[in-house]
Amino acid sequence: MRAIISIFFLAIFCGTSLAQEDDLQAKKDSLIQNDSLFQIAEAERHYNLGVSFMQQNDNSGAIAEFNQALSIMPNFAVAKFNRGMAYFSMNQNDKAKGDFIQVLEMDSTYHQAHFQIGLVQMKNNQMEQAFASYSEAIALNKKQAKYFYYRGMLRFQQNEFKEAIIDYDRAIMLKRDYAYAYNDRGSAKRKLNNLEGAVADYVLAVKSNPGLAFAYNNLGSAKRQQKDYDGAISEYNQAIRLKKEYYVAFNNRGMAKYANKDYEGAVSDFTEAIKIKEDYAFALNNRASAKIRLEKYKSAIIDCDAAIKLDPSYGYAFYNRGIANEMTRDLDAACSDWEKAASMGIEIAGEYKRITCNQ
Amino acid sequence: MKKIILTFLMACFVNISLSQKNGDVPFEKEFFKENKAEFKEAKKWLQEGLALVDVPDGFYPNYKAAIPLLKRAYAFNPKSADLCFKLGICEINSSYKFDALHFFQEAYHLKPNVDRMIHYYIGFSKQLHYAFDEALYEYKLYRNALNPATDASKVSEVTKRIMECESGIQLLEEPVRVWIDNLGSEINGKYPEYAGVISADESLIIYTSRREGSTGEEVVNGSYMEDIYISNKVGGKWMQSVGISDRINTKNHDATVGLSNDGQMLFTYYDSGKNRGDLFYSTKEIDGWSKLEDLGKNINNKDTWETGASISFDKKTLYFVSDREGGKGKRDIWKSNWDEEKSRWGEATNLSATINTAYDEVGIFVHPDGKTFYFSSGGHNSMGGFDIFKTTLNDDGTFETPENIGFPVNTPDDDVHFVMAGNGRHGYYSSFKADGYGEKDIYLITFLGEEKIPLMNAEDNLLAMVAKPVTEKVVMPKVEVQQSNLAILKGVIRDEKTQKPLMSSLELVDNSLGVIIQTFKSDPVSGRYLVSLPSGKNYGIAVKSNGYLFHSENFDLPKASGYREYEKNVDLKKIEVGKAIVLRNIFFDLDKYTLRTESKTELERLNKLLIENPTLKIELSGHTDTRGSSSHNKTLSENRAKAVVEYLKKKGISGSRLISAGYGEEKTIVSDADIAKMISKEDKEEGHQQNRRTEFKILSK
Repeated sequence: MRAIISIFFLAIFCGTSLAQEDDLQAKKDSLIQNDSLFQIAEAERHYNLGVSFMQQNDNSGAIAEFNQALSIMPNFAVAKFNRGMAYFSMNQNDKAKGDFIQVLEMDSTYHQAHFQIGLVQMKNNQMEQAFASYSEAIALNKKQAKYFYYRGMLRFQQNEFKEAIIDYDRAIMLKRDYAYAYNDRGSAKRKLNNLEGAVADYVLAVKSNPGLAFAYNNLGSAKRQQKDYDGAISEYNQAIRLKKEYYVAFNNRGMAKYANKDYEGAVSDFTEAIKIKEDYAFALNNRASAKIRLEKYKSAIIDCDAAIKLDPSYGYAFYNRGIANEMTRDLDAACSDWEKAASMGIEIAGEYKRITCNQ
Repeated sequence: MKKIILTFLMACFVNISLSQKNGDVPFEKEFFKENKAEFKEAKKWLQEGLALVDVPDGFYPNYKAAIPLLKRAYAFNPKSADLCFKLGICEINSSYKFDALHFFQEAYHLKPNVDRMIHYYIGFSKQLHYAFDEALYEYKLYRNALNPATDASKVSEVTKRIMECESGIQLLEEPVRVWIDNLGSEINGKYPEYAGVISADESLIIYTSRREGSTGEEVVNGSYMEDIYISNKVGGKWMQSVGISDRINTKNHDATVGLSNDGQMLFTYYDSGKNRGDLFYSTKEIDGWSKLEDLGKNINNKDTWETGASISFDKKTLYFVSDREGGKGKRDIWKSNWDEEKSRWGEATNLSATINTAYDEVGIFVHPDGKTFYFSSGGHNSMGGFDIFKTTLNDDGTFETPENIGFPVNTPDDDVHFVMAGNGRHGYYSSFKADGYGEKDIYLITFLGEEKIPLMNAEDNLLAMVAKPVTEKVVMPKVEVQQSNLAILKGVIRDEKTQKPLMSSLELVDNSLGVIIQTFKSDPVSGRYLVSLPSGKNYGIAVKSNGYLFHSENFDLPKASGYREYEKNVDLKKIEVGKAIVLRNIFFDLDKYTLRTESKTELERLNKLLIENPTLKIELSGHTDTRGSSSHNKTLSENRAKAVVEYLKKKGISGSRLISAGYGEEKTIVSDADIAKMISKEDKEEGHQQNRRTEFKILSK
């Protein structure tokens, strides 16, 4: 890097010296030349210190050194870029973006700066702008897997799953063991109801990186959607083994057990999820569902109550409490619950109210 | 000869040794030499019991009375295979059949060849215990031992049982979700109660009981004679039932078979001894239930047996059960239309080959929706004895294939006397259950419909770089809507001023056809009325009473509009100056003032009123809702009022008696502010509908 910078500044110097014709002036220039070289060396020293600080995760220290370097050499593009990176790490996104923009002003082909601006924009929820930045980066350099991966992720979030898959494909072509890209491509395929493809990709994700709990969880969910409940439970087991506090996987395993008619097992998993995350309204509502199947209606009502307390707009919990109330023969309460659920867009609750409640 | 004797002796030896090997101890004195006195006593019980069961042709065995006698003999000698078999026979012919299995199994264990039909009876007992697979095994053993050439009827009978078991296996796999509740001690007691019939709104039940205190008093087969009892539901609870009326309960058997939806017309079964058992009816009058009337020669026949009846919602068709000739076999369901001209029930026709089978069809019930029929049958896919079936009448007059209403409502025993409330959610039937009050009781069945599936949420970390989990999209399951499609309109008809109940008539009009479907009467004492309105029509209803202005209502019920109950008390106004009524069944096209043909019946009613009261001078006024410009609404309402006046003038009513007025939106019934407060679109539209109307007011008498 240092060599590159030296060449860069030497080139500037050469350009300047060609303009000097006068001998006297050449002498003067020789003195200036000696000064410039000294300054370059000083700037480089600060730059290198900054890089070392960054490597030690001391972003403040790094920024101080990059500042020093830039005060000596304001057009020191790499130092500006790295300072931007340090700001980015410190969540000082505006400052980071300012540095990256300045880098591009110095060198519009600087694809890394385009990519980093994209990241800042994504953080700021400026999805369209981020998309444009990633595309710029890709236009300048088609060999970077992560550029495609990030653009794919954006497309996924915009529900453009087919287009996302194309970007993930490119990312994977460039990096065969790109576990994240496999995972995300699997998710995009799942969104397109290509469960078989999703399972295959999630399998590749966990093969590429066996430590990814979320990929095992996703694999389990894809298998659950395929109605392979035993297979799903086995994958959720892996996810939980890797991440003991993974409440999402506990909730999902409960769903798989429920689908397998193992309602007791489902209750146990939902309970685990609630232990980890006390305000997990989904797991409370799901446990109520399993309890309804076990004909433990009163206990189901208590769970629905708790879910509703956490989220008073949780239509499913009202709907389910309506079912439990009906089975305890409290029709007034059931009808009131279904009415509430219907007002929250649960159409089926409106149907039940119509059928049951005007008798 | 020698050879024959030898064979006989050998057979006796084999039989005795087989018996003894298996432990059979016949009721013979050589086996009880050491306790002769007890044997003598037990033998006496045995003979007395058998005398009640082994009766000559033409007499009914009294199984119920025989059981305690035979059980005393059984207490002395439980090892008699013949006695065990006989006890099994008595038990299986009693109300509580479940003990029969024990005795049949014991008999078979003691002596496998105790009776040729032992496998049949073990099979039947197992069937009653829902052990269909084991029952099939026994039935097949029995059938294999039969000779098809000489035992054709037995082969046919056991083949039917085999089919029942096969149906039972299927029906048990998909039980219907119901609550079954005993109606309570106000209705049920230790004697048999059954054949409950209800009004469409479940406010009234009339049923049969063989309880002590029957007007017949006489005990037959351990039960009192049948009498009819009645109870009303007040505040959601049944009141203590009482005998319906001395005009209905006689010294013979009197049993309920049907009730009109409004509870004003009761159908009974009565066996006077002259015929084989006929159908009668009684109506609610001011002094109570009328004397029973024979339904007429087209229904009752000297040589036939009529046992069930149900009348359509418009009271124009009677469906009844008869074993008359021309049927599909045994008792069938027949129908007869009311002959207006001859004022009697017309010629009966067999209902349908889709419903009637070679077996018995009984217990017909036509739902107030006019489309759904329930009946009991020993045929179709019964799981044993009579099962309850449901079918639907199509618009072209054909019936859908009957559908078994399923387990646990239906059982392997007889399930009969089923009726369904207007709401389609509550059914009533009689059943013998261990936790009942004794013998058969009447139960309420609440149909819960398809299982309601709980809704759940899953979520995943779909994107590796995004920590927030994404909630799985859940597609709502579709709901199987099982409910009646009809409206029940009920209430009390009163004098506007005194608020006293009025006996009135109600005309039900099919507005699209412009015909009066039927005329009903309100309860002469309470003034209560009930009309069931199957969906799919625009109904006009006119309430009339002498000396009062008529009152009209309109109900537009699209097909499959679900079940609704409307409670509407009608206060009739005396014909006095200043009184006004709304003519709900006068219709105009949108934004036009040409009378639609559906208005004809209402206009004719008004015409009749003016003819009957020739001095009446009236104002006919038009009113609109508040939508649109007020000047336009005013003109429209004026023109509409004029159109009604013109109609009446054409009918010969002097123009000097008729004044037209258009009030536009000046006199709304429901204010805009009240409409704005309404939540649903339907309620808002109903508010506007109330305001769009034609009224008439008496200006002078």
